[in-house]
Formats: sequence, structure tokens, C-alpha cells
Amino acid sequence: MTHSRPMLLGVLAMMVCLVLPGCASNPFSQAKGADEVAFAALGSYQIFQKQALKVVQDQSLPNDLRRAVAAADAAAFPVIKALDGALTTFLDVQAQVDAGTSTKAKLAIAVANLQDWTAKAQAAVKALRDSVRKKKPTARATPLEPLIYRSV
Amino acid sequence: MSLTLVISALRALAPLASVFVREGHGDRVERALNSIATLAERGEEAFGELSGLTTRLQQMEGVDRVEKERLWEEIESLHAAIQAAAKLIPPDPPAPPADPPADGGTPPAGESGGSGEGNQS
Repeated sequence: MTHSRPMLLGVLAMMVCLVLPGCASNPFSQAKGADEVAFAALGSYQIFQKQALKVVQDQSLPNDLRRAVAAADAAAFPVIKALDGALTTFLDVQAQVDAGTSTKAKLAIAVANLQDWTAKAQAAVKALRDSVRKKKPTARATPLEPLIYRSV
Repeated sequence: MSLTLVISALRALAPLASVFVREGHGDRVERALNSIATLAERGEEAFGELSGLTTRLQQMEGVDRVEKERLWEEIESLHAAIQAAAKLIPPDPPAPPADPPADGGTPPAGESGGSGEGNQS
């Protein structure tokens, strides 16, 4: 009986992959431009933040683990904030280019800046994700795991 | 609805699994199912949301400013909540001293009693 729940979840997870188009839980695989890749990083961070909050609030977990998760969020947040700022700048410059009030050279600078912060943000998201996942024992390795987390 | 999906999934998987079992690869089927179970077990919390984000990005044609602002507000709010919760984590108790027990502890073995020697002839 104890094996039935994970088995059911496994089948369900597979069903989700069969039903949803483009599903491998890899947001970055579907991002098309630099702005969408940045949005994927912001969205992924927010998803792992929700898990992080649960861990930090969970009094049944070791305090050092809870502190480590909070520290990972604290370390990542400035990078994520800079990424949000770079994305806002990109959207502004893109709107100005569309309106003919800015140049493509300025847009190229905004894109380069956005890509730079996106790369840093992906590392920050990975650090937060890794800290959150430490709450679960890694008793069994699975070759399919990268399908879920291969992007971050 | 989920029950229908599960039944559909099992129906889709059954022929494939039975082929493997018939060819003497039952252990592989078991390993594969265990891997999927582990995958789901570990990823169950984030899996659904990451899938939702993936689907959203698939439909997206450039980032919508309002959507981005809403996402940023959630990030800020979650960050504040995480840091506030972290402040409530109690400090760890100080580690016990590593010194040997003080006087009055358990006496060393062999020094208690003292009887028996007088019985020797």
C-alpha cells in the first residue's frame, strides 16, 4: 500500500506530460526571445520561492536547513531584482524602438544586459532549488530526473 | 477527471509493459516505474507549476508588462515572507561541553565493592 501513492503520482506525472503540449517542466525550452528567457527565470524563481517559504515555516525540519533556504533566497533576491530591472529596461527600449524614438543599437545593449542578468539569475534559481530539495532524502537516483530540472 | 486520466495512462502503458515483461525485462519495467515514481515524488511540489509556466511560455509572444509586474510583486512578497519566517527560527542551543564528567559521576569499573578477597584461604 505504501508504494501505491508514489506510483499513482508517477502515472499522473506521465499523464500530464502526455496531455500538456511541450511539457517537460522546462520553462526555458519554450522561451523564444531574451525577454521570454528572462521571464522564465523570474517565473522559475517564484515557483521555488513558494517551496522555500514552506520549508522555512516548517518547524519539523532542522533549523539549519531552514536557515540555509532563507539564506539562499536572500542571496538570490538582489540578482532577481536586477534581472527584473533589466527586463523592464528592455521592454522600455523595445517600445521606444517600435515608436521610432530609440535606436536598435540601444536595444542591442539592453538585450546584452538582459542576457547577462538572466545567466546570473539562472545560477541563483539553481542555488535556491538545490537548497529547497535538501529537505528530501536522495535515497534513490533516477535517470529521468533531469527531465524535470534540466533547465535550472 | 483524474481517474479517467489514470485509466487512460494505464491503458496506454499496459501493452508496452507487457511486451517488456514477456521478453524477460520485467526488472526494467519495475525500475522504470520506480524511477517515474521517484521523479514524481521528488518533483510533485514544483512539477505542476513548472509545467504551467512552460505552457504559458509556449503561448507567449513576447513578455506582457502587466504580467511581469504581477510576477515581480509576488516575488517581492514571497521574499519578504521568507525572510520574516527566517527571523522566527529559534537559535540552536549551545553545544554541550566536551569535558569529562565532574566528580560524582559513574565510578570506574572494578573499583566498586571490594568484597571477595577475604574468602581466600
